[in-house]
Amino acid sequence: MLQLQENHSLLHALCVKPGIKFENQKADEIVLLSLRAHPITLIPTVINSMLIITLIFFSGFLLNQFLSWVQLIYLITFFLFVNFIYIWLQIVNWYFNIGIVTDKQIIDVDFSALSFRNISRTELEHVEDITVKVSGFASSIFDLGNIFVQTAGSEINTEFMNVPHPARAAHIIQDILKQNGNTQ
Amino acid sequence: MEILSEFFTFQKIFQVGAIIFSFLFMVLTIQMYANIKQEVKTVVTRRNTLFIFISTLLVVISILLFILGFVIL
Repeated sequence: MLQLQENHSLLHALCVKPGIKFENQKADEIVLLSLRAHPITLIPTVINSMLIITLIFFSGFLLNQFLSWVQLIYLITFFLFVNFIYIWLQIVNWYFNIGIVTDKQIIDVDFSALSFRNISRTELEHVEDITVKVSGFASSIFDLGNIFVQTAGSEINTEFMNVPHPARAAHIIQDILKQNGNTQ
Repeated sequence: MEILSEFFTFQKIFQVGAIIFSFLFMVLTIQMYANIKQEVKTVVTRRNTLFIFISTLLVVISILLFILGFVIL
């Protein structure tokens, strides 16, 4: 049996034995690894929201002479709420865009809180190759990259984008595959 | 008189715009809530309750903002 130590790192972006469950999980199936994008990918959201907040207060100052104070407070509250929803959507999308590796299959959940949900599953025995791709300045500095799981035949290839410590994650997946009798 | 009439128009545009936007935003928030509610069944984690709670809170606030748009403006 593969010995994996329970480990949660980088705001649960890379978790070994994460203690999560998923839909249609078999009774004897164990979740061994969960992967999310590196939290650093949320930095543009933080910058955008700060810019939006500045814009809200600036436009409130400009509209001061045209609106009553009740309308002005409503306007500022409304747009601050819009900004909060924007941040919340990004957090939700980040949290639920998850890759799950169990002792039987690899599941890739693509989720957008407003528009779509896509779940692809690959049996471990169908995995042909695992490729790690790290490119770019930020990827090198923060150690994040993409993991491509290639499958045999017409099955959909699975991709985990901007994952933290991609080499380590790929190594764990390979160990799980070997344990499962798949030597790629 | 002209300035007053211009001011009045701006006010009207603001009121109608606020009501339309707050309504659209309320629909968007409810859509988000429904999707999250569905998603927490797919991936069950320890923080799912928190996600549902905050989403519910956001739906309530968006409905309140829509109603306030009618009452206050």
